[in-house]
Amino acid sequence: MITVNKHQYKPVLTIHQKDRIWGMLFVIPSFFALVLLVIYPMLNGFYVSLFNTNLVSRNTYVGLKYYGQLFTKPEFGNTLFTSLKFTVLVVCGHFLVGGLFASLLNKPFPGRSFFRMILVLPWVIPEVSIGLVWKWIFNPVYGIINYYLLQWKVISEPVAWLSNPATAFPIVVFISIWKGFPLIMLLISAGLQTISQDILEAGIIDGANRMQSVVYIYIPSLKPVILSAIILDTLWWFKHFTLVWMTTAGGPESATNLVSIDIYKTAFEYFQYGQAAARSVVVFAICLIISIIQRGGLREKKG
Amino acid sequence: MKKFVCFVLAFALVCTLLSFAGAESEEKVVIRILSSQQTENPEGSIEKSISDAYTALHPNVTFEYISAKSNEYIKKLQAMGTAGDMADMFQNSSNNLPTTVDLDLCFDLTGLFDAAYLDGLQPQMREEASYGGELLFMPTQSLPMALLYRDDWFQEEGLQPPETWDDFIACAQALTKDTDGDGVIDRYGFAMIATKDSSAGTRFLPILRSFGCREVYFEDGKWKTEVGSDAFKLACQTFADLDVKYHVVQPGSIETSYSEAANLLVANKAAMMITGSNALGTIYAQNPDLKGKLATCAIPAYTTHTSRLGTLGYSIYKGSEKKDVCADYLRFFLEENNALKWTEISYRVPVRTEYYGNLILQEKDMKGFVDGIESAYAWPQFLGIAKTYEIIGSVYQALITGSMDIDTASEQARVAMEELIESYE
Repeated sequence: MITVNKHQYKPVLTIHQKDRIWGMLFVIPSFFALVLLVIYPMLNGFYVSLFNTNLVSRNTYVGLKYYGQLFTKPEFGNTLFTSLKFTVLVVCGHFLVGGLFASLLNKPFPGRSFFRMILVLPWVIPEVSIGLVWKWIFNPVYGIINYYLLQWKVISEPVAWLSNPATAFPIVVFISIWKGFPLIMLLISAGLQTISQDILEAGIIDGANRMQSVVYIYIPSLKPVILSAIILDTLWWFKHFTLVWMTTAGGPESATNLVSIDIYKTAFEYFQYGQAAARSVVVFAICLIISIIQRGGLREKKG
Repeated sequence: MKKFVCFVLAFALVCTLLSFAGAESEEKVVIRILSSQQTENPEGSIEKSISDAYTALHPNVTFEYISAKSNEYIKKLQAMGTAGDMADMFQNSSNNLPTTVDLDLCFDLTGLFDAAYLDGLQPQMREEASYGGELLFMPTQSLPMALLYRDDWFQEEGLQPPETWDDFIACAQALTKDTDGDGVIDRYGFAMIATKDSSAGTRFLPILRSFGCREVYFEDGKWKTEVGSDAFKLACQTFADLDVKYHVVQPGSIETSYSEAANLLVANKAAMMITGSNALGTIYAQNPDLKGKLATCAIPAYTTHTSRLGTLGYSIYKGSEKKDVCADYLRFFLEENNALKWTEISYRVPVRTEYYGNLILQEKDMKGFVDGIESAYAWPQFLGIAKTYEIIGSVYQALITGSMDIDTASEQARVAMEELIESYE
């Protein structure tokens, strides 16, 4: 008589284990892409920062020398401070202008779609084109700003707006706010449209005035959107390069010398790749810290 | 009859075999050239016409251009070097030579050309193309620096070309005018480029030398600097004073690039500009009416007249397997009719002294550039030259914006230069 072991047909893997294996198999391509495109360049960047190198024929190990220089010389600290100042002003500007337009566009009025389209235009135009256009607008000899100010007798002689540290930095901030506010406007608009009309009506029934509605209904409802937008916007503009490079190239003197411009010049104009890599690693660490702090804030609010 | 047929067939067979052998000896050769001139007009078409003419003579040799804009050129070269995908030949210059040496890309051309041929090169240009006794690029043209001025306006005002910086300031003051009487200056004596990049640096360093100050020099086996000296302070102060004291330059000199400065001459808004000879091509292309109205003279002197040669040419990549063909092409490139195409169309100065009798080079708009060759100094083969522009540029910018006095700015620049030299040792 043939006996059958009741455990003989027990599958080798449980359904749960099979799912995990399949899951891992599906993750493998993304994992390799992540390693190849993100992890490896980051590690290689750190590795390069330990060398005095031109990436081809010169490769002298210098250890942490370049990191030491960053913290003992004031230049890098100054560019970091300029970048932080730039980022805070630009992000605040985005939220002020973007929030204002979002609240206006949230109300129905004739031509609302048209205005929404017009207001989104700065975000759609490439940064290089915007940089060049604004540079020409502020050109001291041919620029339209000086032309009208002279015509209206506001100024008696042409002003070199981008050659003066006192005006160049605010102008660069202004252009960056103009370029980036539509993204924040769209995000806040989308957030506003998710606020239930019932809650707003309930607030009115409970006697909330306009200010109370803003403080107790709109802002709490928009918090997740606002915090996500702050993280994205802060990181994006802290690393920003194109607009400032096109308009002032970091000048006059060092008035608009952002950390991204400093790294670009160090790597691709002075060919000091090790020093540039060390700066990039420090900037990465700063971005990571900003991100962690802001994510912590987001999680706390959600909790 | 059979013998005859056999003979004819055998003859045909031999002819066929020979033709195959011939085809083998005419092996196809593709020369890859990395060039920034391909992105420029008319330089790109001149360069292409010369390589096309070579292909017409040698049908088995064709050329493939890899183009990169001049401000992106060295980055492209670096990227190709890093990727191990170098072209057989690449454009080089006295300004870029230290970087290409650092990258170890250039083949020593001395063995590819006989000594008599190389002796025909203008000696200072040959020196600028050499490093450590090796000829690392074949100079093909140069862009000597001189003072370009509106001769017609000089004559109207009864001015002579300036010999000294005091003369220069006097001329600039006489030529700065409100031409339409609206109370606003609309014509400037000098189109000043005071950025902190190579565009301004390659113009300011010869000015510095004219005051007797060397930004960097090689002595006793190491690099040294005279930045911070009294001559340095005087040069920077004089340059900045053109803007802040004499008001003879256009507003916004700190943000004026080469093309914007050239446009001021094109638009009849500036009378003088320190520039290389190629500016003539740029200016005439946009305003042909200026032909006959421009002239050139030496950069004014404080202690001495000086100029920068701005030698350009081609290097052969040391890893190329087609070095002989490249060398033959370079010889063809420097034949008289090809070399003078650059002068006639693009206002470049040839590198072979036997062509200097050409009439174009004797005209008043080119003469100052050609005469400047004698007073030119060898461009420092210092790897940190780009950072040098930035350091020195910070000084005159600080004086123009008024953020620092000359002593403070100069001392900061001296310390920065010494640190720079140390970082490249």
